[in-house]
Amino acid sequence: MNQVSSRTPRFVRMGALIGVLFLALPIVGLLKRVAWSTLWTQLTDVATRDALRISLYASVCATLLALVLGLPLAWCLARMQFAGRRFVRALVLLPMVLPPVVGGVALLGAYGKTRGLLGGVLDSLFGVQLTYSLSGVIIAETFVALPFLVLALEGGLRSIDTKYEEAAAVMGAKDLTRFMRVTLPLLKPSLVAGLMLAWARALGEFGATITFAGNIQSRTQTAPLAVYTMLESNPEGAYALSFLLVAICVGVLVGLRDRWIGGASQ
Amino acid sequence: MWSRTEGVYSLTVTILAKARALIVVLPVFVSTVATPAHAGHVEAKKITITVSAAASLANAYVEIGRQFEKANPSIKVRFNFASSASLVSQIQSGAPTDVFAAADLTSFDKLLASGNVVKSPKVFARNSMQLIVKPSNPLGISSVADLAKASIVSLCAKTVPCGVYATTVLSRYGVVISESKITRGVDATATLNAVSTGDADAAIVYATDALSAKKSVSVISIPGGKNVKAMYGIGVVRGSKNSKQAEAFVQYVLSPAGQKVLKTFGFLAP
Amino acid sequence: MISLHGTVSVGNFLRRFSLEVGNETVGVFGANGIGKTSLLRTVAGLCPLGEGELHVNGVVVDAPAKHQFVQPELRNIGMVFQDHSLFPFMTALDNAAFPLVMRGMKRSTARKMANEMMEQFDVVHVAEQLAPTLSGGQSQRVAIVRALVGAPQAVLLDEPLSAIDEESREGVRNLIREHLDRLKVSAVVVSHDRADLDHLCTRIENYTR
Repeated sequence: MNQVSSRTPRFVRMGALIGVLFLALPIVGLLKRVAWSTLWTQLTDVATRDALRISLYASVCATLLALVLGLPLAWCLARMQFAGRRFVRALVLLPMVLPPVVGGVALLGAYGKTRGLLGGVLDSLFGVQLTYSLSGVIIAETFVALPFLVLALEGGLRSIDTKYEEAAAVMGAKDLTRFMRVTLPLLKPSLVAGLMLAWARALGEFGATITFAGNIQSRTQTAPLAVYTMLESNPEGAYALSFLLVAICVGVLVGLRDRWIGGASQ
Repeated sequence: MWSRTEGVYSLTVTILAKARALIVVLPVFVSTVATPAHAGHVEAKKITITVSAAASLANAYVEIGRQFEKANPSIKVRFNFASSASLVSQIQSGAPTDVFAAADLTSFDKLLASGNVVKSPKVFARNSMQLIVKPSNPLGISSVADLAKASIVSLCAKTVPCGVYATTVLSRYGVVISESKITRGVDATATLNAVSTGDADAAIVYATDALSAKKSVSVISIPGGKNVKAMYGIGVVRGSKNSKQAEAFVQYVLSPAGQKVLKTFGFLAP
Repeated sequence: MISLHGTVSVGNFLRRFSLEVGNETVGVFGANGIGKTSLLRTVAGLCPLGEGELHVNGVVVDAPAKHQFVQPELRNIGMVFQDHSLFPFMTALDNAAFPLVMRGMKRSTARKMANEMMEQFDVVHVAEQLAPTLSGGQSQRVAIVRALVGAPQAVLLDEPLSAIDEESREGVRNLIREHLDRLKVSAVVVSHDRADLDHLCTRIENYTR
């Protein structure tokens, strides 16, 4: 790093300061509103505990489901030539651009028991109802989180040098082995970043969840739904839960800090 | 040249470091200053009033608003629909509102206590609750007592008026539904939608909402003895910058014209 | 035995090559850009022939006209790449042992075998270091070990001594020569250095534009 690139102009530093203030002030404001004396009672309240449990479980499942669905998609987008590629990419990006509630309505159209394309079949043939269930929460969260993972993975796949996969092939590594032993390790930074983003998006999902999976306490009421529901009836509880969510997110971000920034710092 | 700009930058840094509050206030300031200026340019001297009303009033009030604007060309009405409880919070937090219309009178009690309104509200309509199910009614629900058969019942959140009313109705029937079968809508509209577009089996909603849902739901009436009479109140909010126009709107709602609209949408006379 | 007669993709062009390698080491010499690396990549199976046929040890591995193509992972060819291409997330030892593990050997045995050969090539002291931390010369030696350790049925070496310092050059050359003799396979060496080619190869093919 030479002198020219390491010198940061004043106006850049100022812009960064404003950015930091913009982000930090709401967090500080939230912390100010928390009633510390009743924090523990609020957090151990049954509804709150259940909301947290549901949120954590559903968001992790949604992230994994997004990985299973998203990795093949990312691969094809990054490495395959096929007709309708632009269409597929637009489709992948759609949940990201769609207002979440609209996403929820769309999910109802597909998986709703009464009028859904697939939902009716699922109900009559297998007696499976996806709406108003934990599975519904997971589906809604996967729907909104998937684009983030696909984008990150596609970017990663495009950026890794194919020479390593070629060397692996010559050394005798067949397709799946090559992918697991060589491609995936090279993909790690993008994979971790993508999983992080997808998980965070899943955790924070509100509109699609409440529309598709409903707001059933201790069953489909995720933490964001609980905060919203408590805002009038029990503001103290709402702030307490909000604080905990912030703490969890900060904790995960700090914990994965090194890998988040990637191998570049090495 | 460099030293002059350096001076400007360092001055700005100093100001920013010392006036954090300014940065917080600035966006709010800009948005409140910018909007009226824009509105003022479009048509000369049009006053805009904000009416915060309970979600169940949405359809009726939009129509009333239209008629009111026609009768008063110099006034424009902007609506803000949400649950009454949520609106109370907003008003108490300082949200700029000229008129408040709630689905109960308790909301006004709260605002009177916090000083956000000074006069008692005028009751302008009444509503009752009804049970709605899917048009095909596959579970054969014929009354509130049958709700134990449903797998998912949609009710309003416990602390908003329509949720309070639903709780009352259920207790009058002596029916207890386990929380794990109840999906709580944040306002009356969301509660209705769970049955009309979603997969909920039944809901207890306002009679007016049941009416507006038309063919997408099947209505089962709740007899008067077990039903509740919801009293809707309206009043001008303290601190309204257009209290004259706000009062005019209140009067219009109470007038025969306004009452006619409310009746069309299924509301009962006050 | 390597027999290639056909067209090889070199950049945007197709260039006709004819190469016959018996149980010997053939050197490939020529200016930059004529397709020496592309030739090796085609033999390895990383690029298909445009037209013609490629046989390795009597087996047809590439014949576009007959729609025949054997994937590189099935050709059992050892290759030293021009830029080494060691896996950056693995240690030198794991890199060297990779072909053995891929052919089904138990990891511990593979590491032992790789370790022995790395010792011969005087690079065992960096065995547990991650590949990116190795010097140019060290990583090239590991790349050579990786190419030879799996007893491949043909060996391709692309500039195998480019990063080896003058002093050690002769030693490494002799080692490569020893291993190739022991393996008794066809080998092709691409190099700018005529001295390397003279010492390693029994025959040199000059390719001009």
